Amino acid sequence: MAEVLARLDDVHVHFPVREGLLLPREVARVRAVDGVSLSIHKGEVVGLVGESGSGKSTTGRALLRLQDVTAGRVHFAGLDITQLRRHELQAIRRRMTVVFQDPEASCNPRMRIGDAVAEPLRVHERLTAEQRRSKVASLLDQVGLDGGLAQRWPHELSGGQRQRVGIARALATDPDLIVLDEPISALDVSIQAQVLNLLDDLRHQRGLSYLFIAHDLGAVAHLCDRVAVMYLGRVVEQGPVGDIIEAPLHPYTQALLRSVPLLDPVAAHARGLQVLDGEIPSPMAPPSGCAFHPRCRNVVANCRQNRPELLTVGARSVACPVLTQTPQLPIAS
Amino acid sequence: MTPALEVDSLAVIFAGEREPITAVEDVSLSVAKGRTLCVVGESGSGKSVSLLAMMGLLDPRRSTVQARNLRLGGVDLLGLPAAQRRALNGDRLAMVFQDPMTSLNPYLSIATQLTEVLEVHRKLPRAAAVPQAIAMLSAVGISAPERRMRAYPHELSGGMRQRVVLAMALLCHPDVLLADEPTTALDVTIQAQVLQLIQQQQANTGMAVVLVTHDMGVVAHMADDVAVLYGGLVVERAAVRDLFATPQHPYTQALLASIPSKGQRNQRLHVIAGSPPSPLSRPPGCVFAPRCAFAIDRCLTARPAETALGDGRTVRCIRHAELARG
Repeated sequence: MAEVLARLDDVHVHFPVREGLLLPREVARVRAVDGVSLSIHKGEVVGLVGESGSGKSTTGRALLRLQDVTAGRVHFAGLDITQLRRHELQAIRRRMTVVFQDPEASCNPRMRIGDAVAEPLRVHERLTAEQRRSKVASLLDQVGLDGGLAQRWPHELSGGQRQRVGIARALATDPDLIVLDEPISALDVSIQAQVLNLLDDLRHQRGLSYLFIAHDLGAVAHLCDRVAVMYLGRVVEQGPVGDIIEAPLHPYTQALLRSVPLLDPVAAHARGLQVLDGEIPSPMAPPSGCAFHPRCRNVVANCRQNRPELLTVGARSVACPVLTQTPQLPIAS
Repeated sequence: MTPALEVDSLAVIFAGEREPITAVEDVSLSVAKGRTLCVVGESGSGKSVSLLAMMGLLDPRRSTVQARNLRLGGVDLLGLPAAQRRALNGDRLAMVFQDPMTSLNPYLSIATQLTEVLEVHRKLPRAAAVPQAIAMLSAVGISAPERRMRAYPHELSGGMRQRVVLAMALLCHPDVLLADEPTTALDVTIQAQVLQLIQQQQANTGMAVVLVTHDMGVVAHMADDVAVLYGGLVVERAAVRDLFATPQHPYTQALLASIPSKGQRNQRLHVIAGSPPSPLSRPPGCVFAPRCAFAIDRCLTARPAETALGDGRTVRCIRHAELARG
């Protein structure tokens, strides 16, 4: 297998909730990310899925060092970057970039498209104006945009075009890894397919790695090699995307996949809507034991007491004691 | 049988800064009691504006709504004085929006907002309205409804807010529920819960549902019939199984082919080149022609008319007959 490019080691991100005007004291803690370990290999696309509030975006931000971690380590390209200071991160930032969900929010409305794409080049590379212009034109071309758009303003572009600009900007410094935080959720259906194909092409042309944060499981199945399923700040199951989509093991992964509507009215009618009751609990007061136990069908007494660890089952790992204790499953350790 | 809601040749024109903007050009829809019509379309297709026009919620100073016919049950809505029409809203005809905060007042408790509906439409005193409101909250799956009555919108999660809005819309047991992307902002798990609630309420009361969505999976689960909107026009209408099995319009075909499903990994997705037209600059001929793989010269010059194919099925494409033959 290819070398590990980025790795999160038991990463925790907690946000203190403070009360009091003069001497604020911590009254509670939001455990947004609560012990996530995840690695991304060179050239690999790892999907991160889960409901809102599961901590998937915060995990992506921790990897990018846009968010300081409370505990645990963040590694990138063989380097421990957990404690790097701002200026030390400069070299890392060009190799690890990000595309956000809302293309509107990531384009400065007062900056022409060409300047927006050139901005990372200004920060990171010493180029003449002429070199920069030709690089911008080539980047726009690579994401399927007309070079003439460089002179236009963000409001003159459609949502799909703006998202392509976001991707061009993320590519500007020739990164190794791009964190894609829900890059297609805000786009029209016919545009989503265009952007997914573009991401797939770029990845193969440039040997890129992605951390693809998404809630659309169809898109995840399409783009990813491996997928990690998060629930309330922890990974409950991870493994090859085929295994997880075809035969999910964790009761939460199963429920999440069952909630996805079928694309066939005959099958949809026969099966009906599959509903997982309840909502994701507050990360301020996570349930005891397995965080999923209040919504789980297979719950046993032990689930309420002990927090399950991720155990290796074949090519994947699952955090469910009921499952990993079932004798017919092949368990490796 | 009289349809629960029927609109014929709806057009909505807004007063633009320079020239009038035709948001909806020609939309005909109908939904029968107890049935669900899904309206599918991308941004700018006119699906939300069509719903607002049917509700009478567009500002008459800035927009013109035209239709050959707009009927709720037997009632001609276009001929009705504004006050009488408004009285039907929230009573016989109710609407749910994508963002629940569109319909919730952040300053008022859930109790006030729910009981107000019954005070206005049923002339109930508040004390009599409270038990009905609590019962409806419980019917939409809100636990501890008595306690939630005292809550304010910001204290509730997105899924819970959407349930409250649904409860508000259902309080008077409307004949028709218009729902504009009610689950788009929700997680798939919560989406399934909310869709199931709509199905259950429909089974109990026989209300008709018009559900606007862009998610073909939601269509597959919820629809009896489907109308596909593109560029302010209905380009295809069909029963849901027919639409998925034999889509007639090139746009419907391309749309269905472009959706990534978990069954097809590592395959290239079919793509519709270009983007949907803005209402400011719709092409002169067929609205889909600039993106259509089958467009010929004739498609670029004249708007195709809606062709009836039998069984209520229609398509708006001059080449559909030859394309269907292959």
